[in-house]
Amino acid sequence: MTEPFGFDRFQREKVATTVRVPSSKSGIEAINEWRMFPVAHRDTHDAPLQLTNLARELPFLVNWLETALLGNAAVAARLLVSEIDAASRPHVGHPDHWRLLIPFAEYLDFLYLFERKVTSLAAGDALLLEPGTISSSGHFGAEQGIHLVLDFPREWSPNGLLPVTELSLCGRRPFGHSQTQALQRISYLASPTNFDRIFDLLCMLPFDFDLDLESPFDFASEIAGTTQIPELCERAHFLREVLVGCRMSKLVIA
Amino acid sequence: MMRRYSYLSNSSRGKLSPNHDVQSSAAPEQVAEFLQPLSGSRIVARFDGPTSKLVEQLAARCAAPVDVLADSVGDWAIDCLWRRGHPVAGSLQSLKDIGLPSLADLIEKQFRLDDLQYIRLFTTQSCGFVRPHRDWQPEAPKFSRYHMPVITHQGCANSEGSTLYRMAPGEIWYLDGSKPHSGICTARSKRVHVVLDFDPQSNILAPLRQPRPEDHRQALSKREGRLGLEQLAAIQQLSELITSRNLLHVLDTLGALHFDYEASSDAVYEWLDDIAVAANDRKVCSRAAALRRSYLG
Repeated sequence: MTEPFGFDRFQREKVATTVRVPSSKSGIEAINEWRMFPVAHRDTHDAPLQLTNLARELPFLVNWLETALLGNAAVAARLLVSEIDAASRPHVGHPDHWRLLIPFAEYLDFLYLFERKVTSLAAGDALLLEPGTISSSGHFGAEQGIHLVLDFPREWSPNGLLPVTELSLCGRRPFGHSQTQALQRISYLASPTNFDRIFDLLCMLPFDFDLDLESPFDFASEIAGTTQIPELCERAHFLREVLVGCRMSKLVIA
Repeated sequence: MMRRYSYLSNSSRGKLSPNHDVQSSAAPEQVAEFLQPLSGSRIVARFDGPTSKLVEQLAARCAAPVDVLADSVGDWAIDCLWRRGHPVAGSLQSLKDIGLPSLADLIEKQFRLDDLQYIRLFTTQSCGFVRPHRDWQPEAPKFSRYHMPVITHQGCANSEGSTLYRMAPGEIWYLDGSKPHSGICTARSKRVHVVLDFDPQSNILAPLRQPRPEDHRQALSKREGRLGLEQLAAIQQLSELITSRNLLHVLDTLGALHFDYEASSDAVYEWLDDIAVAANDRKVCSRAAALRRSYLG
């Protein structure tokens, strides 16, 4: 669908002009201009919606959240606003929430990474992530991207959504010996000054290379371990713990 | 023969090609080059304090979210407090009205306001850095810019050309925006600079009521030394990883790196060019060139 949720072009433009950086929240998962704007939440699925100031400026969105079958079932709604070169570091969703990402328009240069797949969304598509799924997204186009991010309780059933069986999967290059060597050499450059920037670079690699979403954490731990700088080992551990929890293997701490 | 590489400003800077024996230590004059006083930016005066009232008022102001600075990494932000043509033109009453009376008094005491264009806060709440850039070209200056560091710490530094330095609280710095420069905050702690922009001045001391230029050698910081063979090979091998999607992140890695090693602020774009050429990817090359034009002109 070219007009998501039945919103027209003017309503989409209203959203774009209403979301302003000062009212946003940039989490530890954000790389560059990747900003979340809380819209509404419910304490429980049958409790009334609690609106933010931003939501009060977008009555049509509130109306949709209060009346539409999908919107009405959500326990939290946020707007994700992104610019070119922005991305999210791999992160795990709420362990008890389904998460639905609905693009406001067709963004062909926006890629979604989950379960070792990279996909874009066609018009009318939305991405549903099961509770606790690790995912990452990247914005590579010049146009500003806006997504509505909805969280649903674990007991919610996505019956109203039609599964898309043929994903628009993107091809990736193999991660070969020369790339592995290049990664190992990064330890010669790593320091507390640039470690987070290196980690951001590692997080971008699965968009182009055949790597899973755990790889940035494994690489970061290996690089930190090779440097034998305790501060870097702690930082690598912290990033893993905060973004995906410590349930992955290959944790290398010097 | 073992070789080493150099990005010194008077050598083949930016080319990933060997030009020194690795065993030979750096010549004294090359070391001295990095300890030279800055050619552009300098301390031009001092102010008393900053007083605890001023720090308190600015900290309160910075608690509110502001626009994030484009071309920066992390939460490096700009808060415009005053601009020429403000309803109370020529007076800083408006600063008092927004809860910054101590700042208004300080600026009125230190500066002549005739040619003042902007008063802004350059802030970061925790880690962040500004990509190396020029604010304007030497032949077309936009402003004469002065920094008053009010809240700062050891984790903050600025680079200009081949030099790394720290602005200390109580100093007033003239910042030469025509030279490639950058700034960083490596600690998870607040940094607040009050920045005043005046019409370009032929005499940079003219806007100051009590000019007191100082030798600022004590502000210069030492780094790890020059990049060695291993580091340069590691930079070169980023060509195996760079793509048009992660190019900006490669640049940010290099940008942060130049705060650790003796390399000039603009060298990062030359490294990026070299990596792009080695990657042999036309899209990557063209974007690397576009980034260099965008940040350095």
